Amino acid sequence: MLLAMEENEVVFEFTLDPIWHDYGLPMAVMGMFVVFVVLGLMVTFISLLPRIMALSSSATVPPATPIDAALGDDEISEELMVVIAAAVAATLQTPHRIVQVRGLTPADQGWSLRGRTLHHQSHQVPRRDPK
Amino acid sequence: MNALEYIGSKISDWFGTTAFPGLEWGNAIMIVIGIGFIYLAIFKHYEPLLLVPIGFGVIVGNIPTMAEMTLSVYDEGSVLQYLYFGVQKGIYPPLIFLGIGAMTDFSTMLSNPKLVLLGAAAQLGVFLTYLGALTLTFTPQEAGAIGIIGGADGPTAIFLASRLAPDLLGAIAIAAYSYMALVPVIQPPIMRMLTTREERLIRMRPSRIVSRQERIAFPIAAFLICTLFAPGAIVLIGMLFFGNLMKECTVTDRLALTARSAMIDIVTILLGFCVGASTNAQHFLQARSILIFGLGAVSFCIATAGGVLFAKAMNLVLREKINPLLGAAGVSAVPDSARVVQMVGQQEDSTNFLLMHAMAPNVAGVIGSAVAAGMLWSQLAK
Repeated sequence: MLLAMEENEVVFEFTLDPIWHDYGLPMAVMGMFVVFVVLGLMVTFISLLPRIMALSSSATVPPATPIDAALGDDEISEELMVVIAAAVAATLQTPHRIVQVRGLTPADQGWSLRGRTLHHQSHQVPRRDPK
Repeated sequence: MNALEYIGSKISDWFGTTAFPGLEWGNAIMIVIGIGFIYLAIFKHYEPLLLVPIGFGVIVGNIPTMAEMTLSVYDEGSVLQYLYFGVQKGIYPPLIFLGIGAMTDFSTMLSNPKLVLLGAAAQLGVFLTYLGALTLTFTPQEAGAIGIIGGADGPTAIFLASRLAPDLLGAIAIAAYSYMALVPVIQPPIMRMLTTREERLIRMRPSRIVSRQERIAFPIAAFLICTLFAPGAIVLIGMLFFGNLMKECTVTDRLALTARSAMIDIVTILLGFCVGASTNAQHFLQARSILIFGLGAVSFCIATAGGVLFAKAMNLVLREKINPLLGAAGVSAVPDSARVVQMVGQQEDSTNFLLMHAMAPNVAGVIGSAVAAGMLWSQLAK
């Protein structure tokens, strides 16, 4: 079918014939099929990826030993030490050395208690007599 | 000859060397189009990184020169022809893919793999347009190069056109980039027409955290899967996944940084400018160019509709429904079509964030269009 003319010259035509050739509809269908197969395989691989990773990591990494179990009641675990060191570093932002990290003893808490008591007393509101 | 006549003849000689005597209506129209591109880029923010170089290139390519002066991309030995060599031989597109790979995060795709299929469905636009071009008596090679416009991937379109139909390269490149820039205009009406309000309101489950090992394993495995089935995609897919591996392995940060910043910027400038400069009116303003533009528009619409309808079809069998708007992101205009999905989704529900989910079919679309291009090349190059 002739669609357009320009100075008596055919500009473009319309025909369904090429559709039925090997390079027509069969190739278009095959092209879509290949795209779906490739991306479908990719979907399968991605779905299996977490399991593959879990398998490989369980095969190579020895099971973790509970660190806290070996510690005494008054000892601080290694992880907690790292967290404290990171918190100190983030707060100070300067070169420093942590000399000691230990839990509070009842004596330490006594000083805190004394300080808190004095603080509260300094804010005592004068009592008003009820009328 | 008196002094006045002498001066007049000199002015006449000089005028003959200017661009004005050779300026035809076609050149003037193309210069206006170039200015239009620059206007759209600067004031409407339509793909400015592409349209500014292309628009200026269009203006440069349509300034007529004397026959003795070798200046245009079509003149043997001209500076512009050397720069155009990268377009003509398909050098720039793989380098762009390297940069895209180095800036792409496949995590959302890895966390929700079924969305990858939307990127495959959107390639329907490529193959239906291929058939459409065949019915309009384009050769199979030309039809393949035109069809890939539906992949909405400028570098892929340029790469395939340079391999299969170099004569149509300018028209195909301009059509591909123009429609990529017009994604926010073309896609929303189709997305709204094919979906109900209830479908547009569907919320997606948050993505899971993807481990570094998965992100490293993916580009290597995906490259093997793609290229074993479609070896024609080795250059594009290879560079895409190589760039991504450089990003994810974290031991080549310097290389990844260069690939996704300085290198891709330089190549984008050269590619855009040279493609624009190749649109000389004498080569570009032909009836076939108009046909290519028409087929490109149809191709984009079919690709968008294909993705949305496939998402709806998936919902028939899926227990956990997906928002069918995501199907439109299967068109691989990264990240524009994903942004359009977010925009249309938020028009219905301002608290529904689809952008990250839309990136999954979006990057899958890049892979899908490169596989389609590789497949067309391997079949039609024979």
